[in-house]
Amino acid sequence: MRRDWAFAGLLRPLALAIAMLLAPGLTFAQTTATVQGTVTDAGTGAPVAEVSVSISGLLQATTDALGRYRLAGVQAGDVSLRVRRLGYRGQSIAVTLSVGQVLTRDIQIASSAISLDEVVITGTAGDERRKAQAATVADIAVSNLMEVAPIRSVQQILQSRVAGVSMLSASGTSGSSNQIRVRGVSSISLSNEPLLYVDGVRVATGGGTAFFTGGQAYERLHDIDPDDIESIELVKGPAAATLYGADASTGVIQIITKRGRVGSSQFVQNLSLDYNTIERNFEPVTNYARCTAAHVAAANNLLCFGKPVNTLVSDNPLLRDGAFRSGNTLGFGWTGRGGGTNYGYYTSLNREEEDGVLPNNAFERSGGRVNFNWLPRPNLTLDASIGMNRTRTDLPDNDNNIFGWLGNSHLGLPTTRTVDSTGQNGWFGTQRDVAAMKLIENQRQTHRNINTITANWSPLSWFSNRFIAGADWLREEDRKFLPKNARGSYSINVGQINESRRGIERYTLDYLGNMRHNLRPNLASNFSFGTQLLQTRVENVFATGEGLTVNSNNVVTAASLRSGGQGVALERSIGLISQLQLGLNDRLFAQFGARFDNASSFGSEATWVFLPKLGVTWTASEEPFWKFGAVNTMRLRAAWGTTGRIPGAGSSLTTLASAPYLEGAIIRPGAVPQNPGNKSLKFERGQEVEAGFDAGFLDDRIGLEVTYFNKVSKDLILARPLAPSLGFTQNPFVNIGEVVNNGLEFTVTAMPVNTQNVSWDVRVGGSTLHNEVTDMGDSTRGNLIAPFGTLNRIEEGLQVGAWVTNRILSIDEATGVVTVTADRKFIGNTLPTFEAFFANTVTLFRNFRFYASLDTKRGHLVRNFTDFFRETQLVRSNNRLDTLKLSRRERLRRYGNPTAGQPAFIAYRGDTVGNPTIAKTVNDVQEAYLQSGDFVKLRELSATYTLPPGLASKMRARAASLTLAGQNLVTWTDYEGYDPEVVSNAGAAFNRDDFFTQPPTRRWVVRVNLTY
Amino acid sequence: MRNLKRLVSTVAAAGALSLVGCDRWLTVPDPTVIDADVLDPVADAPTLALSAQQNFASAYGHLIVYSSWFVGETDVSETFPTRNEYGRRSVAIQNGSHDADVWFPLSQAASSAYLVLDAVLPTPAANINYARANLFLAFSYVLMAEQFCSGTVRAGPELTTAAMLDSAVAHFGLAISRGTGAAGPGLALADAARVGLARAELQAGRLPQAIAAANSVPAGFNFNLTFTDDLAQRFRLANRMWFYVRDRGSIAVAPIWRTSDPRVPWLVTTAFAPQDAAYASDRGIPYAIQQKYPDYSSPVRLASKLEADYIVAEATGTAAQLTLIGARRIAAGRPAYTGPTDANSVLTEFFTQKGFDFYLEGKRMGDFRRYPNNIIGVPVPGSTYWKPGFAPVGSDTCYPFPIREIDNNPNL
Repeated sequence: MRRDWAFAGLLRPLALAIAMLLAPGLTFAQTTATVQGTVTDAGTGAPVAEVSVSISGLLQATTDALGRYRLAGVQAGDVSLRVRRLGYRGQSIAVTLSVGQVLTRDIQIASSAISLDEVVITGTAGDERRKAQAATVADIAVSNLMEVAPIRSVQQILQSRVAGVSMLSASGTSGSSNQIRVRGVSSISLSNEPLLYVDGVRVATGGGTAFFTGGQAYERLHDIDPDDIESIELVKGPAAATLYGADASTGVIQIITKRGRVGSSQFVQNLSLDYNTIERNFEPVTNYARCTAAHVAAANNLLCFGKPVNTLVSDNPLLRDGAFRSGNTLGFGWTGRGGGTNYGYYTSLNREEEDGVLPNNAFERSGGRVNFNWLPRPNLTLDASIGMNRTRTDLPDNDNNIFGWLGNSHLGLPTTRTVDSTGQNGWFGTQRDVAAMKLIENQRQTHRNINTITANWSPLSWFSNRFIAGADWLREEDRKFLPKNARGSYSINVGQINESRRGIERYTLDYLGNMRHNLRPNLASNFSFGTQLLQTRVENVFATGEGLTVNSNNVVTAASLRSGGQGVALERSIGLISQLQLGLNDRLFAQFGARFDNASSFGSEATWVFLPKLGVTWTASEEPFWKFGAVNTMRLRAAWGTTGRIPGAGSSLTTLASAPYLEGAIIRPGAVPQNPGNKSLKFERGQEVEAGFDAGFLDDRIGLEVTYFNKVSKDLILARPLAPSLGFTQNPFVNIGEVVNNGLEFTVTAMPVNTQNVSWDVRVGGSTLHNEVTDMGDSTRGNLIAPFGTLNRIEEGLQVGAWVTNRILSIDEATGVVTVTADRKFIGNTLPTFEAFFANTVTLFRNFRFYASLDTKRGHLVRNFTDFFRETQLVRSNNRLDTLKLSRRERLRRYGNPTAGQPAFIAYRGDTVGNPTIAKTVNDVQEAYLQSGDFVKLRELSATYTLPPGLASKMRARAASLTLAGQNLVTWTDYEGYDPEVVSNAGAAFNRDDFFTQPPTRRWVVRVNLTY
Repeated sequence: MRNLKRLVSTVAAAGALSLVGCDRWLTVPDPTVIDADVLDPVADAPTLALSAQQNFASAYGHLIVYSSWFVGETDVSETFPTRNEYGRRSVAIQNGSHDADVWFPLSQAASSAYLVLDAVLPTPAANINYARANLFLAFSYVLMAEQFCSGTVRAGPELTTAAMLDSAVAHFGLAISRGTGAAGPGLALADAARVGLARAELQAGRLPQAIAAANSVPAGFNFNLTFTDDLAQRFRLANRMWFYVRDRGSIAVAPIWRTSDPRVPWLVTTAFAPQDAAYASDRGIPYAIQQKYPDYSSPVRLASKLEADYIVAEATGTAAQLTLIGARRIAAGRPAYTGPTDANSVLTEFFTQKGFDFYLEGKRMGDFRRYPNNIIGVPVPGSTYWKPGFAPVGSDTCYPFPIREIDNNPNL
């Protein structure tokens, strides 16, 4: 394949244009002045960091830890300082500057639970103030959050902070992936992970694994150091995401990294040191078995020898062998921030080392970032950033894996314990004890560069342009090594080495122009237009070797048998954007937008996609008539927009897969049917309407944001299940069906107390979710898709992937007959229908901060497949073996009729007694193991002490703080497994199986922050 | 305002140009797949026909293993409940292994043979690709008829056992004529088709036709499917029975076949372990692996004059069966048959000898379907399964469609 770069031809004219723009900038400093000062909290008097002080949008400074700002290079004359910070009321302050003057202007800002003047970058064009946006874009002030919460990853930032954003830890394994769902599940066959942008550049998400681990996957979000993040903005659905095109219906996450401080003439350094201890947070179950005559006669049988036949014996291999350890994290971060007259810079270095609670689980990250922002002219800014890092993740085998820690231990037979420790000795596998499991390596090393260049140019007062070019370069080295051993001749015992090298290049080229014009004195218009090009190229090569001479010589070439392979994928998409925004009296705003998209994935019969959007917002409280006492802010908003979801390139083609054949002893290239294709395949269309209001009460000390959303995915892309007899290995994508997600989101932000010595911030949020498959085609149109899925069902009228099983109708304890439904019936949801969080920050005497957050998920079921397997398949549980442990009724419910020769469960055809009966097995009737996943979790608890300046200065620091924190401290749940917050198959779209999955860990954190 | 209009029209023109030029930019290659449009049905027919043969060879291995559990040639020495359903003769339609390992490979073998037969190839009467595709399609039909209660191909209507055997007979006939016409390697395909034809006719109960077809097989004929040890393609190109010993520890030689008869070589060894570590204690005997296929590249016999002889003897009657029993016992170095000589007893001994001769060759399930009372070692319905924690042995005599076929075949 030709390794061309699609945007190469654009580079030369772009460079020329930049050079021309910069040339006149030499006289920049000759007619300017400087403004500087300190920003303090009007309530507490404390300095406020991270406040944006700007002039004309482009010239901007940010306050340091002591609240200081400095804006140099300001054009002399009458100027307006715009002061903004999340959580504070925006201000505009008029100042007059003479040439060469250095004006000191201290500013007090009042905290506010609601702020309509803040700027929203993501998904907006034209007037980017929040008050002008018809759809909600959530934001998280990460730098603030980091001051109180013990955060070490992007996932922890997103966990229970924003209504409608659902995070699910796949496991408690260090470095493994999480699932992020925004406003439910929009797609059935395509990814439901939101798109991720860093400073306007789309970057790769997910992670997966190149080789089998059993369930858990690597996570690319871990490549980003939270210390580098200024804020995160979340676009929740199509209503706000139209400008992100036909692939954004699952939402957009934009990470905005920290910037330098233009005009500050200071260099501020920050050092942070983290130490976590990590605890396993669960008690491994004990295995049981009954001794047979053979066991009691065997002198080498440790537990049964000499005991009566049928003795119940037990063993706990994980605890007996001391499998777990206390994990820990050591994190170090350094940032340097500063700037000169017309430039600013931010640099960082970070290093994190974490050992999980299992011996071969670890995570390491080393990285750095350089962000440089330059104002060569008052009407031009250039930002460039380079983020580099290297991560290494070691995942243990686990989950659906008999060589995994939990699978191997939880399926072990106590009756195999031996005096001389030979054989299985209580584990599932022969001599697969702790020492053997430790030696299995699953490792990924990642090298990543995320580079962005952004230019904002306003050649005319009414005309501005923004160019973004960026690249996400990612190289992943995956390795799985199963050492040679003496446990037999299985492939995994002779020494097996698997290596994969994957390169991902993702390029973004984005242009957005905006023309502002006052149609009338009170009617402003903003017309925006632009284009976005994306290209992603993924190439991987892999090799496997089997049969090693010695374990230390463990490269593929050392193996006696070797094989390899390659994969390549190239995807391109283009979007053309336009938007007209009208603002009346700076209170009533209307937006009309459209985007045209096309992508390499669509079929030859598909055409360009038209994505319209409409929205209106009205800040009623700014109207002269507004006199509602306690309600001092009220903004109403409604928006409708469309986006979609795009499948991978080539999804429309009819294909065969290469598959060799043997001609005698010679292997020759052959082919097998793969995918029947679909030439009319088009994108999945997501439409969303949202409406709500933002209200401020009691002088904006209480803020309330309420949003109703109704998101409809049409032309759903389904991998249409084919009858296996057709012989295709893949199911073709077809555009059939509809999924609806709707619900209500609310966030309450309040500052009940805000005095010099005591302040208390409360943030409560929640969301409901109704998810339903509403259409699966129509037999009259010949495109009906029958319900599919055995336990997780795709069926009209049910939630996506809803749990179904044969339901128990009656239990006759006298006869043991358990009657169930003839067909599988709905039993519960996989997606929570209600989620909420409750976070409190209390500050005492400016120096002590206490933070606590609780969250809950409700209305869904988790399949406790671990218990199911240990009770009904490979029986190791005393629930089954100790006949007195469960009631007879519960035993019948779980295991069915124990009478020999009788089916475990029976059903009557048509559920009508008297009709012929149908025998059902425990596999059909899993009601007892589909358990409520409801929980309430004390997620975080922290205490931070900020040293008084005098004490800090003794350490030669400007500021210093110490934080002690805990995470995942308490879980309240009725779930019978370890933790309902797990997914044994991290890549599953909507499955919630708990199958030998390590639950989330508990952490204790110490963090020291020093600012110089 | 004039500037504004000029700007807007420039942007509009640029947008229109982009729309025109972008279609080409958006057309990207995908070197990881074979676009069906680039295949030439004529020039690539040999590739497709030999691929269909390989699909059948791969499916055949699965069918042998799973049916060996079902009819008691081997024990399920692994823990997977889905595979133990075969050992218990109670295969659920939701059984994922049944779908993925048994039904789908067989279906793919049939449908990929049809890919060749659908193409218009030159000199059809002597086209070896047609001969090959017909042969393996016909064997697919035979195995489907022997092992499944009803069948279907390419999402067609439900086929009865008789209909599947009729299809097999038709395609074996075409394989014979096309193979004979092609000559060269086509002759072996034609002879294999003759054995298959006899097998299909026998299963259909048309004994004279079975005898006639079997008698037309040349003496000493053997048609093997070949396999190899290629690390990257073990699932497709390796001997499945050895794969299930070495890679999974899934098949143990059932106690009844652990004799000194050299036709069923077996070995008690600790070099290979059963995946179900409790096998020995639950079964009460040591784990024993099959040695008929001792490595990944061991060939598997598909058709032979010996099978034709068995077909003739079965169709001819007790005397012929006794004769063959004697010959086979001598050939195997076994003492002469001294048991009862009534028809039923002879038939049981006949199928026992056939069981030794064709151990793990996928023929015993067809025999069981014809003479369920004369096949030894088959798990008995209602009896306790030897592995604790499982329901008693069921009474299935054939496999159902997997649920994926039932749900998604519009013609069922």
